[in-house]
Amino acid sequence: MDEQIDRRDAEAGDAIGDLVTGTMSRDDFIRRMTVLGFSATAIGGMLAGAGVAGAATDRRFAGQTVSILVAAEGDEKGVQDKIPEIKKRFGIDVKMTALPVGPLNEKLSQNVKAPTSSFDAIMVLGFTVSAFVGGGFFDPLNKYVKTKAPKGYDFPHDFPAGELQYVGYYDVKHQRFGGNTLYLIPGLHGGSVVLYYRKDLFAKAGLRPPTSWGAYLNAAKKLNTGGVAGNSMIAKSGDVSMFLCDWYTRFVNMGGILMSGSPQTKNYRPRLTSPAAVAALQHMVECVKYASPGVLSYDFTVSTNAFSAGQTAMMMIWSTIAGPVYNPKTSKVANKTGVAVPPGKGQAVRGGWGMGIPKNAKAENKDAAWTVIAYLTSKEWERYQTLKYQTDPTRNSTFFSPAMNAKLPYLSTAGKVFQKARILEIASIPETFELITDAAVEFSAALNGSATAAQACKKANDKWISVLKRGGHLK
Amino acid sequence: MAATAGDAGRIRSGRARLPTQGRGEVLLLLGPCAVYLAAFSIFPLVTSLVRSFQDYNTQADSWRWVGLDNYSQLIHSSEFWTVVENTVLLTVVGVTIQVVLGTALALFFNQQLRGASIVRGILILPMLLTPIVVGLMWRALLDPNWGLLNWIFVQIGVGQVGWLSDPSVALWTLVVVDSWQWTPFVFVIVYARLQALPQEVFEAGSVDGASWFQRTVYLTLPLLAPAIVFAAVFRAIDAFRTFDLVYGLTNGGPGTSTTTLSFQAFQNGFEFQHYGYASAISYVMVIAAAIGITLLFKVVKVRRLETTA
Repeated sequence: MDEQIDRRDAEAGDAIGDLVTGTMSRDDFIRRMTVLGFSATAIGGMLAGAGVAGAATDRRFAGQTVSILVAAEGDEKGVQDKIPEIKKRFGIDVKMTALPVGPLNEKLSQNVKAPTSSFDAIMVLGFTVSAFVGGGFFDPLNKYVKTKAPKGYDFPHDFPAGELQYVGYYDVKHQRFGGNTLYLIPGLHGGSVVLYYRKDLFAKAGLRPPTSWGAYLNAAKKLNTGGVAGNSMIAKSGDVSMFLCDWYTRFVNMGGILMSGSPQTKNYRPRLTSPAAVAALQHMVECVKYASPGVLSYDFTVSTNAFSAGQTAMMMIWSTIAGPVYNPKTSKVANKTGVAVPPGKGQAVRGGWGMGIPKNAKAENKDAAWTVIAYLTSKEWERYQTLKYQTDPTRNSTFFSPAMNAKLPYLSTAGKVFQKARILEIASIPETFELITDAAVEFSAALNGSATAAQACKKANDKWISVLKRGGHLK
Repeated sequence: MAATAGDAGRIRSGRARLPTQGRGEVLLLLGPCAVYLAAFSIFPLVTSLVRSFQDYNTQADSWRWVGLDNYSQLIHSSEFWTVVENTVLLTVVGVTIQVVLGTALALFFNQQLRGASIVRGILILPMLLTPIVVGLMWRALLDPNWGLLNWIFVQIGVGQVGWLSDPSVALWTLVVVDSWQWTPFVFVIVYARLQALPQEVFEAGSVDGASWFQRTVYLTLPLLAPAIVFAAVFRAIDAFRTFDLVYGLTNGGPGTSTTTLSFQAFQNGFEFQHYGYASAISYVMVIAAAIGITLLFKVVKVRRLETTA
């Protein structure tokens, strides 16, 4: 009898695994569990645990077409996979346009300013929330989450508070993150910066993942052998990830504060000449000595490829590179890679996207658009997407799920960093990208030796002042 | 019915109308072209001129009149002058290399060598590629870790070169890549003209005892001048507005060492949504290009008049 129960539990466990990974549909799962003799209550509990409890078929919008604009950062694959499921479950035809960040922002800008938006739901990058949500171009979603959220949606409890503040709530009147009006639902992926390192090389050298920036530099020095670079970074001139991943992670963990004053009081002043700012850049300059000779042209893709090819011992980078790095088909170091929180306070910049409904979307499509958003930001879709494509989730239940961590061991570390990640101070003004790019251009001068760290920081600081003055954030 | 001498005079003066032509026909024939020009050339030109005197507020989605502020900012920005210098260097050096090499190749292939037709075909392949693909392809070739070029340099003991990461090398890398792609264009134009040159002139030169060098310098090159000038002007306009190669290869870096005016306009307009400033940059480009081309054509005209006189 016990043996029978064990077998039944084992089969149920396998089915839950299949359900979570999307191999088995919700209907098939219910049928299978019924055959195994589980009660309706037990099946309901399992569905809730697997994050698909709210997958009730709501066909009120059957026959409608919802056009969505999403980022082509891996999210589009999971969306594409599930378009038939959305059709089957809700009867809604989803027309997806997927674009890289730059073109997406251009398209978003054109659409929200047109008389009628071509898209019923749009993904918004955190750094552009102030420009687009702050511009009053999105509908509040409070009434939707209050009255139309599917069962088991678990909003807001399942989302890190910081992420909700960043790509969820916005105070349009005072032009700042937070407040009580919800404009976006965090998703379709989040992310922050973690330390990727080679477990085998660290073990061989008798090192542990660094917990201070001094230890980071020492490890880079020690691990810098002929075939492998001691460390790496995104050092390509003007690359925003250089500023966000490499410089800002050092800066915040060295105790840096980026700005003083506030845009509202028009005394918003950069602190790029502060000791922490210069020290962070100087640390990068030191690290270049123990990096690949070509590191100064490394962008996100080249850095990821070099790490996957086994040419890098460690690097700070967006946690979302786990997909290619942990995939044995694209990585030589899939089984040798470890993930750790950034040295120091374990803090990094907050990344992520939110999905919302433009104010000028067709009125008759808005409820259907919400149904699609609710599905694409559900536990069910997020788990499917994370397991299949390893983009970073936004929900706590995905980051810290034991079942998910058994398959993707880096998740809980990424989740820890994500939970306490910091919103970039300048993300609340529309000039964010310009400021980051300007700093990344000046910082590259220090990295290639044509300026000292202090000179580069001073130049970046001066540029920021002129941009902030032009934008009316500084008198 | 034959046209009279008076009709011919009117036709020559450009004010004539054929007897069968009505106002409707004129509108029908010229209308689409006029509408097209108005919609896609005149309207954007006027709008961007107006925008260059305004500043856009993303949050309020509104435009504010700032007068000459954008132009003043440009002129007082040291970065702008670096960008102008990069653009001029890329245009002048790049086009000079392309004209010299393209003409030399045309003269070489005019020798009717065996197998020349096959080599000619291969030679023009680079210009069939889009510049963004060329940029990405060369980025792979110049990759510091697995790029072919650095591998060769390491094998012969020169060591790695920061083709794209060294600020003193990156712009010259751009010139080389641009020349690789566009020398074939000059070659095709000059070679086509070369094929059409009257052979009697060269035969007369040979009879008079002129050497190959003398025939080339005193006969071929002067006769080729219109084609060379055409190719140079065409390439100069194209090089002056280089964007995609920079975007694919260097993204304007390191620092601003390879940023061109087009790239700066793109960055300000589409990445920073600083549309007024971007329009001002574009207008500076339009004015500079108009002055440059007018001067160039004036020089060519003067030289042609001198030649005919």
